[in-house]
Formats: sequence, structure tokens, C-alpha cells
Amino acid sequence: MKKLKLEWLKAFRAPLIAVTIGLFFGGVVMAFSGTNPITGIIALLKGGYGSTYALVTTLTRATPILFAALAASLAWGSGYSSMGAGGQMVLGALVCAIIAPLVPGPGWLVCLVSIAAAVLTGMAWSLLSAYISERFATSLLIITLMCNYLADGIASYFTTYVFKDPFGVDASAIQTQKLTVGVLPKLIGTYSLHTGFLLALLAAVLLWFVSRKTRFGYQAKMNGLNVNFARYGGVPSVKMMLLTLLICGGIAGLGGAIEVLGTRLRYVDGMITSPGYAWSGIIASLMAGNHPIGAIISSIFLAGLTTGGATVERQLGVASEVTLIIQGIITLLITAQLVIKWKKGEKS
Amino acid sequence: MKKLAQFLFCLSVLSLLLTGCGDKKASTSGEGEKKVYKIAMVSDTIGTEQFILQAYNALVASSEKNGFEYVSLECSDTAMYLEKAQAAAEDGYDLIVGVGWAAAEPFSELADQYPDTRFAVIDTTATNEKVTSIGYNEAEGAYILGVMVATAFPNDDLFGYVSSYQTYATYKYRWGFEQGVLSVNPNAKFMYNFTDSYSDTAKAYEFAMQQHAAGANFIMGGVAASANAGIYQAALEEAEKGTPFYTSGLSVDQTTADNPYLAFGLLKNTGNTMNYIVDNFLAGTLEGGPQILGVKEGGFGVYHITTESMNFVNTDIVTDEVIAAGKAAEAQIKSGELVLIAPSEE
Repeated sequence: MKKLKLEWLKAFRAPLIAVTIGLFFGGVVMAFSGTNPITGIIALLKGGYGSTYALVTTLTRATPILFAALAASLAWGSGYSSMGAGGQMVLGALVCAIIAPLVPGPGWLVCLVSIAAAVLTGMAWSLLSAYISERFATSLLIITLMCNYLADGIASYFTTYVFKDPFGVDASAIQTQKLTVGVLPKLIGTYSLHTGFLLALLAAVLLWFVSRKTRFGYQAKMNGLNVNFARYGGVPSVKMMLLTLLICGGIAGLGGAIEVLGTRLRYVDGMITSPGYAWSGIIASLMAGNHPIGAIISSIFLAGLTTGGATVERQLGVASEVTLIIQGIITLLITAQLVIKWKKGEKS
Repeated sequence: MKKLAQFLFCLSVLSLLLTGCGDKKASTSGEGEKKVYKIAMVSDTIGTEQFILQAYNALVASSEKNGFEYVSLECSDTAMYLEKAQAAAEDGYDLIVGVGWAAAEPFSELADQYPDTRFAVIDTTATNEKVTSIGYNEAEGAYILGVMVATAFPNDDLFGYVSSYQTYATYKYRWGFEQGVLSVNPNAKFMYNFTDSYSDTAKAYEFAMQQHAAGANFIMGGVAASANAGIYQAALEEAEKGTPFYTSGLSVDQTTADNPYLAFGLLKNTGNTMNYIVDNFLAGTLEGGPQILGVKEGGFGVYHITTESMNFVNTDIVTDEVIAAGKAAEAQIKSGELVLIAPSEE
């Protein structure tokens, strides 16, 4: 029991140090812009988590980040460095926004069909990059990254030319038609938090269950820990890779659909890429050591930084870019730690 | 580890010291006799974006004059418009002004949720009647520009125009420009190309080159203030070859002595617009719904005609005669003699 507790503490140590140093440098930047860093950091945390409004906004922003983090945690935890969550989310969101207005019938049916379409799209897109990477023995990291740009371009094209909102009053708004049925219900009054957040939590628990209690989960984990050992133990590597990335794509596609059905109610050009949900998701997953439950905490933390940054900007006049600096430092430290781990592994 | 701790401690002490120097708490609150209004502006990141900067500067200047508190909330993604505006409404801001299309929808939503806060958007139209939507009558400015260009190039019958997207928003420019040119030269023909982007400088360059090759000596720059650079570059290069063409700027004063071929400029005055919104708000006369500002209201115009001057005047092209023609057109519009409303595109 005691050992287990220590393990937990260990898992939290690295991200906590990274967060502390990140916040510290955030404070330094605040000091340079003429704000007391201590009040600044307190305002940042309070603005991110300290009131109903702040918390609700943070959880809303955390929802797509968590989906991306879950996709990343499965992929990275299984030893596949996939960056593809972004593109899969974009296409999932786009397809969901296109399909939803076409489905007749009650809201739940619209929701179900459009989500299913988005999941399939995410899967297909992920499978494409996995196939290319496998077939031509190229780096999955590069292929998925390139596929993200491709996906964004495709989505941009279709929203600009084919599915552009015919009822739009402002021609410069590049977006699809607004949904009226099949919208995910809000959780608290008129605040932006929607049931999609609960779905994200559910997905995290499910993924955790799969990774702990199923054969697939075990094989995936072994694959991630040591691919040679896994192969030697009889884990079919190609099939494993395709299956893992297929599920990742499905999760990311789902995340895109939830963002459409929960917050924007349409696809707006750049709605997934410009907030960097997928990037934050990958950082969140790495912070949590690719643990699905840990990813819940880190996703909420990262989302809170953005919300809190807005408060600091509003109340203290500090540029909200300070949160980007904090996030950047955390990312740097976490990835540096990964590199050190790899180096150590290579030596031994 | 100990060393690191010491280092961190030193840094934090240093940062505290620095704070003491830089702390300048603005005491904007009046002596309690009247409520100090709080006004927020929500926009894309300002940076060097002149179009937003104008509005911001106007807000700052107005705050000094009228003694209200202001804050600028910059959004690096479109989801932030809702988050930041809602946060400001929660904080009890009295007026929230959004710049650009991304503000329209979130503000329409928020106006119902926060009845004590006034919302206004610039350069877009919100569907909610409670939101003040300021649009521009671009056709008026483009008309004056057309008159000036046709006067400046009396021997030309072909005029070019490189624009962003083929939409009603850009049609208002095209239509106004056409009417202006035709009022001087009824035989004029026009050539249009669309870059299908607000940022594709290279495409703007290519189209300008093509239009010039096809015989246009004036090519109106209508992509976006920054992406027009492709057209300006083409003008410079063609001038070096000895076959110059002339062009015009967009939204802000882009004329400069470095490029005399950029001879005209349309002005979308977000500064005046911000003043219009704030002044009306402070006076209690700010009405909801869409409102169009044109030449008369100082919202849209042409440099050197509706403004005192411009950065650089190429007197070879912008002659006294051209200016007089522009002024005459302005007077016609201001007096209401000439009403320019672009019809919906055929």
C-alpha cells in the first residue's frame, strides 16, 4: 500500500516541478511588465479556477483538450509518437457539422449519427497516416504532422466553398450552417459547460479500464514499454499499430464532434487549430505520463491557464501571452525530461 | 538542488524589487460623485494591425478625455471572443466593443444573458437587435475613388481590381468604384480577379501583373491592407521596367514616399467608429441594431478628400484637378444629392 502511494507521488513529482518553474517564470514576466508577480500568479489561478464562471469556462476549454490528450496518451503510451489528433479532430468536427443538419428526426438521433460519422472520419484519417507510415517505413511523427496540415486545408476548402453558411450575414465569417437540433445540453444555466465534458470524463475512465484490464491494453502497454519485448512475446506489431491508431483517431474524431455539438454549433474555419487544442492535449498527456486519469487533471490545468490568463489581462493589464510562456516552459521541461529518460535508456 | 533553490529565491527577490519600480497604478476613479464606466474592447491580437490599432488608440484617447476605465482583450483564437467577452460581462463592464466578424455571434448570445451590459460590434453585423452593429457604406468611398481615378487617367478605358473573395462585402467596393469611374468615363471597362484569401500576397502580385499586361494602368488594391503588398510590389517592379501602373491602398493610410505608384487610399476609420460608439454610449444615445457609417459620418472615406492629407502625395497623379473632382463627389454624397447603396449582386 505504502509503495503504491510512493509510486503515485513519484508520478506527480515531475509535472509539479515543471508547473512550479513554469509559474515562477510567468511571475518574472509579470514583474517585468510592472505587476506584482505574487498577486499576478494568485490572480491567474483564481481567474482560472477560483469562481463558478472561471471553473466552468476552464472545464469547457478542457473538454477538447482532454479528448486530444486521451488520443495522445493511448498512442504515445503504446510507443507511437502520433501528432495526428489535430487533423483527426478537424475532420471529425467538419464532418459532424456537415452531417448534423442533414439528419432528420429527434435531437438524440442527430447527435448519434453525426458523432458516429465524426468518429469514423477520425478513424479513417488516422488509418491513412498509419498506413503510409507503415507501408513506406516513414516516421509516423512526420506523416501525422503533415496530415494535420492537409486536414486543415481540406476543412478550410469545404467551409469556404461548399458548405459555407447560406444564412450568414457577414461574408467574411467562414463557417458552416448553425445547428438547431442535436445540440448537447448545457450543464449549468447559461454557462458554456456542456454534457460533452461528462463524455470526455467517461472516455478517460473507459480508456483507463481498457489499458488496465484488457488484453489489448496490456499488449499496447508492453509495446510502449519495450517494442522488442512485446514482439518477442508474440504481440503482432503491425496489427497492433493499426488498431491502436484506429482507436486514437476515433477518440480524436469524437473530440471534434463534441466541440461542434457542445460549443460552436457549427464548424468555423480554424476552430480546432487556432486554439491549439491538439497541441495542448499532447502536452497534457505527456505531463500525466500518458495516464488517462492523470490527463484529466493536466488538461483542466492547462485550460485553466488560458482562462486565468484572460483574467490577468483584464484585471492587471498583463498581456495574456504570459500563459503561453508558462505553458512553453512546462512543455520544455516535460519533454526535456523525456529526452533524459530516453538517453538513460539508451545507455543502459 | 540547494543551489537551484538559492537561485530561484534570488530571482524572486529581484522580481519583487523590479515590481516596486514599475508599479504605476492608474487612479482613474473620479471622486465618487458619478459612476466610472468600464469599457472593454475585444479584438484579435493588435500588434501592428492598423485596423484594430486605430480603434484601440481612439479608445485610449477617449478614456483620457472622458475618464472611464478601459481594457483591451486580445484573442488569439475565435473561441476566446465568447470567453473573454463573457468574463468582462461577469466583471461588470458597462460596454463591450468587439472588432471583426468573430465577435458577432458570441455578442448576440451574451446580449441576452447580460442585460446590464451594452454590446457593440465593428465591421460586422450581429443578428441580435440589442447589439449595436456598425457597418460601413464602402460604396461611397469607392465611388469617390472611382471619380478620382477616372479623372487622373482620362485616356484609359480599362481599370483593374484585385480583391479577396467574390462576396457582397467586396461587391460594395466594386460597385461603388464602377459607378464612380462610369460617372466620368461612360465607356470604361473593368477587370476583376479574386485571390480567395485575405493573406495570399503572391497571388495578388500575379493578378496585378496579369491585369497590367492586359492593359490596365490603374489597379485597385482590394485584397486586405497587408496582402495588397503583392500589388504594390508589382507596381514598383513594373515601374522599374519603365511601364508603371498605379494602385490604391485599403483601410489605413498606406501611401509612402517609397512607393509613389501607390497613389490613392481608401479609409475605414475604426477610430472614428470607436468614438461614435463610446460618445453615444456615454451620452446614453447608443442604439442597438445595424447602423451604417459612410462618408458623412466619417466612418468611411478616401485619404486627402475626407481627411486633411495623406502620408505621401504623388502630385503627378493626384493633381489639383483630381482632388477637386474627389471633393465634388464627396460634397454630392454628403449633401444627400447622391445616394449610393450597392444593390444585391446579380
